[in-house]
Formats: sequence, C-alpha cells, structure tokens
Amino acid sequence: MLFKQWNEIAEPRHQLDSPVIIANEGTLQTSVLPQVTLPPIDLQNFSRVILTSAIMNPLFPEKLLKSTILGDLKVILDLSSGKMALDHPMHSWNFDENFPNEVDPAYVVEERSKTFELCAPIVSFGRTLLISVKENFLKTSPIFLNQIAKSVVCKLAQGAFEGEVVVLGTSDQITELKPVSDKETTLNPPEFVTSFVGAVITQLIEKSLPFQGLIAPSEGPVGFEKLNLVTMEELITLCHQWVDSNKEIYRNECYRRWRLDGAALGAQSGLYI
Amino acid sequence: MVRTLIVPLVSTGNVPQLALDLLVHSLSSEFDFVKSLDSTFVHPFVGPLDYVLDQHVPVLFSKTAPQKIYSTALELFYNESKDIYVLQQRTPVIQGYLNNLIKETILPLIDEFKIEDVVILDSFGPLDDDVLEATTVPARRGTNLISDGTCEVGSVTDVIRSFEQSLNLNQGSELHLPSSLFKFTPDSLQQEISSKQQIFHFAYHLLNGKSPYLKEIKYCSAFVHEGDNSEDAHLLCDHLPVVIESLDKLLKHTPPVSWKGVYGLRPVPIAFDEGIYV
Repeated sequence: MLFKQWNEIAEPRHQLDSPVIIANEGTLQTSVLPQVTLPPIDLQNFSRVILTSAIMNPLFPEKLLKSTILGDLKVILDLSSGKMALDHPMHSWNFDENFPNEVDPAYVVEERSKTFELCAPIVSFGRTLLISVKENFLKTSPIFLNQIAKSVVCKLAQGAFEGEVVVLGTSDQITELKPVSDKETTLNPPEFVTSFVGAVITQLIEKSLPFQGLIAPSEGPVGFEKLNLVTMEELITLCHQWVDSNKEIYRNECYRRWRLDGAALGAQSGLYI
Repeated sequence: MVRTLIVPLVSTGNVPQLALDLLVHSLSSEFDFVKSLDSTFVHPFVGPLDYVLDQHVPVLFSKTAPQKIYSTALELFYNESKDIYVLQQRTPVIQGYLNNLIKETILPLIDEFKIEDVVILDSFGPLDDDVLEATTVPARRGTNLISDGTCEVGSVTDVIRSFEQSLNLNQGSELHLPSSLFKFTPDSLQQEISSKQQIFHFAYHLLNGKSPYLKEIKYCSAFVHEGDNSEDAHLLCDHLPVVIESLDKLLKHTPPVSWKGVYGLRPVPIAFDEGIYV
C-alpha cells in the first residue's frame, strides 16, 4: 500500500508536491515545528465536533445555520528563531552597524520574514463545533496539518470530550462515498486518506478516541478538490442529520455554496462559465 | 543471530517500500505488528489493513492487534524467529523534516529494541544525478544493479572527523563524497554515497546517536527505472538474504492485495514467444 501523488506532470512518484519552507536541504540539524494555539473553548458546551477541510464548507452555510466564530486556531512556524541551520557563519556580536558592507542586508530582511502562519476559524452552530482547515498543497506544508490534528485531538482527549467526533474528508483514491469509524471501515486496499482528515484520523486512532465520518470521492490535488453532483447529493443527505434546518432550504443553500466555492466540477456548475 | 532493523527510504519507484511489502506479506505468518510510530514528520496517511489475497483476515496484524482496522504512515513489524524488525513507511517525509524523523522517531527504536544492525534500503534511477556521480564507469558496464555498502560503527571518531571535513573544509564543492563512510562491495554499481542523499543523513544521525547496541549500518541500493517497479521490488527482496544473515531466500513471493490494479503482478515477458501484446 503506497502513497501516490496526484499530479499531471511526470515527476518521480516518490516526490510529492509541497512547499519548500526550509531551503537548506543539506542541513543535518533538526527543523523547528509549527506551534499551534487554540482559542479557549469549553468543550463541555458541545455535543459534537466536526473536523474537516475547507472543501466541505458548502455543507455548513453560516447564515442558514446561524453559526458564530468562537476564535481562530493559529499555527505559526517561526524559522527566524536562530534554531535553524544557517548558510552563513553566526557571530556572537551583531556586526550590522560597524560592518554594513560585510553583512548582507538582504539576508536580514529575509530572516525577519521567515515566519509562516495558518489560521482556521473555529465556528459553532447549536451544540456543534466545526473546525475546518483550509488546505493548499502549494502553500501549506503538511507539517501544519499534522500539528493541527495533533493539538486538536490532544485537546479532545485531555478534555475528556464526551460528545461525538465526526470527520469529513475527501480522497482521490476512492470512487464512492465511504463511511468510516473507529469500529469499522469500508475502505479497501489500496484506498487511503491523506491531508488534514488523514492526519486527524491517524491521531484519533493513536489516542483511541471513538469517531465516525465520511470520506468522499474527489478529484484534484489537496486544497483544490472537486466533488461531483452525486457525491454532493449524498453528502447533503447525510450531513442534514447534524444540522437543525429545513431539509429543502438546507439542500438548496448547500448547492448554491458548492457552486460558488468552486468545489463543483466545471461541467456541473451551470451552462455558462 | 544479529538483531536487525530494516528501514526503507522513499526513493525512485518506491522500490524499497514495495520490497518490504513483499517481505512482510510473504512471511506474514512469521511477522507480527508491533506498533504504529509517530507520523508527525511524514505526509498524512491512513488506510485499511493490507492483506494477502487468499487470507480471510489480515494475518500480519490479527495476531498481535486483532482490534486494529487502520494502517498508518509508519508501522513496525517483528519476526521473532529471524530477529528482524521491519519499519514500513507509507508516505514521503515532509520537506525539511528528514533529520527530525531520524532523530526523534527512528533513533529511539534502536535503543528501545536493542538493534545491532540497521539495513537501509534505497533505490535510484537515471535521473538521480547526485547518486549517479557516485557510481563508477566500470561498474555501470556491469550487470549487477544492486549495491551493498557497510559502515562499521566501531571507528566513530574517524567517521565524525570525516563528517567534519565534508561539512566545513569543502564548502567550495557542492557535492562531497564522504568516501570512508561506507565500504561498498567491489561489484557494486554505487561506490560512494553523496552528502545529498538521504542515507547520508541517516548515517550521520545513527552514528551520532551513539547507541551502545548498534554495530553496523548496511546500505542496499537498487538501480531502477521509474515505472511499474514491482519486478524491481522482487529483485531487491530476493537480494535481502545477501545482507541479512538470518534471512533465507523467499520460496514464494506473495504481494499484498493493495498491489492489485496498481502494480503488475506478472513477471515481465522476456521473449517474443509470449507475444508482443499482453
């Protein structure tokens, strides 16, 4: 069972597209990890936590569900802390002022900007908490997704969360909607789940937390997945159980959002472009 | 018996991972699942348990973890009769975090399980320029496509000196070949390792880990062409007994069901009597 990339370019398949955040590949030092900050939220107020990626946002229309933002989940990777291996010698004294020509000013600017940040709003509707992470295989390194998954699941495990944990993900390796849970899975080899939801399920398994969820078939690379009409219809039917709204209104709003968000396949987004 | 840990590098054609798939599934009655390892430093992965086609249950997992229904990115297996640990890695390392993976995930295993020999499997192809520079022209004309190198951990001081030289004194040359690190067999295609290769990072951290148990690092690298590399995986798997004493040549290769539809399961036709069209 191996990991294969989604890519149109014939690159070696053992290399996956992800942003280069640490330029010095030859370094033998370890890299710093992104730090995750979660807003203070009392989990006891909620009976359900939905963990998903932004591609599923059309299923949770804010206005219809009257959802409120509780705070931002922030992940910061600070590469300017001096812990990283640098390409130039380090000095115990700051020579910038006395030797301006010797110290490359371009480097100083570069060092200051070596901070990467990712924010994900945590929203609630009714007694449901929704954490939806916007992925982008061009800009977001998977280390961010792994760290978010770790922190969120740790928080659920520590807080002895008694409600249900729902995961909603996509995979380009499957052809139909697959229910998953901690008790059973409908995935068959060589199907697999990657990206944020893959990281979340990995952490939930590690912490032995019960969960249920759905993995939807998608096309496209991480962060730019497209869902087809059949999948969307199934998702809407299944997700309606978690929202408190008239089914027909919910359904129409989901379809509208799905088309607007660009998650629809081109041929199904209407007659005109 | 020497306690051995086999580690695949995610490299050209995924051949090392496929070779280990073959090893653990062909000997699935002997190998047991030990544990999942922290997969922070590799791309996320979760999938169902893999199994061999004629098995009704995933034998590899059912003996020690009957409740398990998902596979994760890094899993450790153990064969007690041969005293071999196998680390299966299912996804590539996240860019920039190779050193973290080795230091924080793999090194602790060596102490925890008192590993004496670490066997690292690698593969490279015609496009891997940094590795090709490390091959010799006479060797390229040979027919042996698998290279075997050994690093005796005993003379750590010499080796560390070699690292220091390679890191500081040769800043001008982009590619330095630490020649004294691995001793390759004379018929190996690869006669050196380059500092750009993953094996260089592994060797550096394993040697600096100063494990009291570790005696040898063995490096086994196959020359492959990117494509359907299941046949290369069979060859690399058959080569393993050359570097691991306790392992006998597998009588029958049984690939896992996940290969079906992804990799060809039939041997490559070598004569026209099998027809041009398959």
